[in-house]
Amino acid sequence: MICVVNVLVDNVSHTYTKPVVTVALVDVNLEFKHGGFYALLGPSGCGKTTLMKIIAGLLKPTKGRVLFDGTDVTDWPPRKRNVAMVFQFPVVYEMSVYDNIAFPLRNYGYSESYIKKKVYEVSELVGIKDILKTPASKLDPASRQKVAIARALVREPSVFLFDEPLSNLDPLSRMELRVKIKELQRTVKTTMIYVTHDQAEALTLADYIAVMNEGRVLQFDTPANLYEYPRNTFVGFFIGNPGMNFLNCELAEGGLKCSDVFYPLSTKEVEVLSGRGSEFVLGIRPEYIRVGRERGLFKAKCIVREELGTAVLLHLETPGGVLVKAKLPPTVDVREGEEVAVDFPREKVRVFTKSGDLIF
Amino acid sequence: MKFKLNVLVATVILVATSTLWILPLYALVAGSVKSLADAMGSPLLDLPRIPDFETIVRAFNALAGSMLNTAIIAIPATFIAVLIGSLAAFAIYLRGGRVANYVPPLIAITTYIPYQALIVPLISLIRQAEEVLKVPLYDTLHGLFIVFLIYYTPMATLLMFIFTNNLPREIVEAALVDGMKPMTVYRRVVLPLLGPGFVATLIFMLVQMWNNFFIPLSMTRGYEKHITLRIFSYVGQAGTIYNEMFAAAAIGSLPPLLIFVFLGRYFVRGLLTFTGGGR
Amino acid sequence: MVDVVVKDLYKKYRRKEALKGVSFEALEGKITVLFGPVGAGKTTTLRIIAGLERPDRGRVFFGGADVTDRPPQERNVGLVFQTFALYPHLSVYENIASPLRAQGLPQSEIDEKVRRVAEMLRISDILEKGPAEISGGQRQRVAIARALVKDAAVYLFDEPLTNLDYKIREAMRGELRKILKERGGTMIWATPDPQEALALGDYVVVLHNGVVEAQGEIHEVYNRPRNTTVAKYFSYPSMNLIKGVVKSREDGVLVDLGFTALKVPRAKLPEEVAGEVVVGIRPTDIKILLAGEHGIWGTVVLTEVLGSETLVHLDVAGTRLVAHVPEIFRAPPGSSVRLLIDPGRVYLFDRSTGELLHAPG
Repeated sequence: MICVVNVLVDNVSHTYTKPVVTVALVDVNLEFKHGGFYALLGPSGCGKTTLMKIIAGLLKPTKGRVLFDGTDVTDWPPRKRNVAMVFQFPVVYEMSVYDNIAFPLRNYGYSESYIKKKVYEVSELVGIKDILKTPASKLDPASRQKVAIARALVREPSVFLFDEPLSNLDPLSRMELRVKIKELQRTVKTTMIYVTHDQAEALTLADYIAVMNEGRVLQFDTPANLYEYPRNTFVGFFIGNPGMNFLNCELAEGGLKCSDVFYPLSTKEVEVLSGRGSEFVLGIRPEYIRVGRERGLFKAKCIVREELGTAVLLHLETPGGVLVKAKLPPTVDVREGEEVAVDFPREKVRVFTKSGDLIF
Repeated sequence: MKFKLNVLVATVILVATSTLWILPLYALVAGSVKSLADAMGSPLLDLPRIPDFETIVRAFNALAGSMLNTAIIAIPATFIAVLIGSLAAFAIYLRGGRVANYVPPLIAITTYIPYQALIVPLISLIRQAEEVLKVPLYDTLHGLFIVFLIYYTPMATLLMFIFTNNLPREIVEAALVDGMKPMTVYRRVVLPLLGPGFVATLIFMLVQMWNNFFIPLSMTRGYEKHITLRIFSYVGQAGTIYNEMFAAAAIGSLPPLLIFVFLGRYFVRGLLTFTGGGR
Repeated sequence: MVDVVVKDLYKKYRRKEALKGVSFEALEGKITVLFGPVGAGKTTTLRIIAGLERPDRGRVFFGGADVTDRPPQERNVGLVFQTFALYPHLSVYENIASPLRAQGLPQSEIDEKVRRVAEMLRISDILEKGPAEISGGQRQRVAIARALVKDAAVYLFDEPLTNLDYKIREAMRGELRKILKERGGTMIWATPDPQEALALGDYVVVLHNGVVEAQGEIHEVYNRPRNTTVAKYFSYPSMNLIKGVVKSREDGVLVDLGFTALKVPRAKLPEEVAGEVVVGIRPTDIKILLAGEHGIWGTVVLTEVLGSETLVHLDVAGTRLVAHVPEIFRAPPGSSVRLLIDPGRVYLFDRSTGELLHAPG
């Protein structure tokens, strides 16, 4: 059941020429080691789907190569690379679930007894063994996706590519399928590359995530590192619900001055910063901000109290116009219009250059 | 090896069919510049011995009148037919429900009836109208214009209905919710969006009216009121003046050809909306 | 600005009954959220209120006047479509101005109103562009601007955030309520997302399978769900619903869940309810213990990291439970954890009717 492959994306760039000239990817270098679950995460238009198509063989990059286990497959069509793809819209044929899954095997000319064994195996894994006789077109979208996944699995592909497969499903089915896909990956151990704009999917399913924006890979790291040490303000903003708060600051005596908020730094830190310029960006995640009645770093007024169900998001504004959002448990007793003291725990504060790169 | 055979077979078929199409065209163009003796004397497919451009000049002069007449009738008739068609199509579209389900097929069926079956009753109707209205209609330009209009509006409506149906429904709904009256919706939203489809229908209808032979034949006497009649006039009992006829046919085919050359892309764009290739 | 009342709406499409007797009220000046999962009937309801569909049965009233037979162009409604439905051949400015032009207002007034609403939605800098040249998030703001620019009897929003990237949705949620309140007016906002509903609404109408399951002040309905359907769908994360058996009831109720028994304090159940109930536990009321000796053992099925918080899917002696952890929490599937359920936060529902019997607090 296992066919594990190392995928190397070597210096790939891609520019579309029609309908208009668009730069889709710039200098992408990624290695997907066999058996891992990887995600390409980024907003619409960041290039993740383009990259996936290049890995699959549906698109030839204008520059760069793709290697499977050291072999240059850049010119190989998808069939030769033996990649399996599951798309946003479930692709099922007008036949029974059994025939759908058997389809690729029959194309290869395997014996019916072998096919039967494989179909049973795979449908068991995916959890659709009891609907093998149902015509696939009569199923709901979630089940259809399972059939598509099963059909892809049965081919024992070298790489599994998912293109936002859950975005068309209702929230409940989405959760169900997320669990299923994760379980599958543990069992099957094929290299899986999952494209999505939903961080929850990426953070839940993947071991390593490539966060992309505007054609570039900004950081390729574990979910924990992306969360705690984003190398870039975009990563800090994109990961987390909601993302990091950013304050524009100037280097001052003993710390950073962000309008009417002063954040003290050690001498060593000030030294490091003075070598990097005078303007910086201070980042702090909403869930790490401490809010209270006593003293703190600064005072701010709660201008919006956003109820989220599991938490409350307080939009806090200082007289100088600095705006931060703090995420707190729903029981916190702060109403709109009230003034509170705000504090940032030192170990959770991150400082970035003006252009957005992490310093510490 | 298998790959090459496919290409070979495809090429042979392509060449064969192209030849089938090009030969008559070649004969037409070649024949247009032959002198009469040449045309009558030599085989159809021979090149002209000495090109005689007089033929073309003569043919043009002979054709000029009927071309003008055809243009005077066909162009306004096309515009009016397509305008009425698009308004009708939009009205049906807005109405929705059973009307939108049953009326278009009904209209479609009427367009399937061969015009040969319709033309005699139509002429007799025209004759009766003449009597009642005391206005001459038979063998007049305006009479022919009216018949074209009557005959071609259903087809225009049908085509426009297909294009209108392909419009994103929600945009029309947004216009209604914005408070626009249906006529305003048509003018400000539907017409601009129909653009290519509208032009495609215009082109199609114009070419239809330009090439139609039977209706002018039935509605008029003589050869002057429509170009197809004038071209046909070269067939005489004594024989056919091939060279001038060919020249006339070539000249007569030019206007539709030119329309396609210059406006063809709108036609294609219009057709693309069938497949949702537009917006 | 008027009260909108819909009474007894029925609508059937081909074989599907979309609405089966929907009645509710949207009070003037308030934001009423029309909440329901996909296929509940939200879009159908909004379209009927806008006049784009006729109900098979039932009436729609704007401020007491029966508008059911009026065509959409005569209802003075602002509608934001899920697909935005912008005019592709007009600029952003003209798109927004469209309803005002239809009303025949003078150009100076149109200009003033368009610019004011564009400012409110922060799209003043793209007024000259065409819809194809702007991003999805911007297009949605234009669609909202087009609806809000006129003084409508009611503003209808059909899941306008659903087609947007998660991050854009997140950003818009916070400012949208402010913008809507600033504009003022009667608003009906359809969404399947409980968090969006809570962030935006004053009132909620919970729709499921074409039937109104609950309506009222939004936090009331959220904290005291009338039945298991409301509890399951109108909660974030979705409430755990487990079968339980009532064992005794002195001044509280002892409920046996199989893997554990909970003493629900101060719960008073009607005499007739004996034996079987459905117990509702919010994932936020299940705590995962990292140390200590208390707690129930459970096996981790999946840790779903949502960003800054985690939903832990657990198997507890055969029952599936979801616990919410307000930070990133990872545990490999198959590992064992201990959990603690807060008995004071438990909901009890009647097993046969699904009706609420007891709510905490």
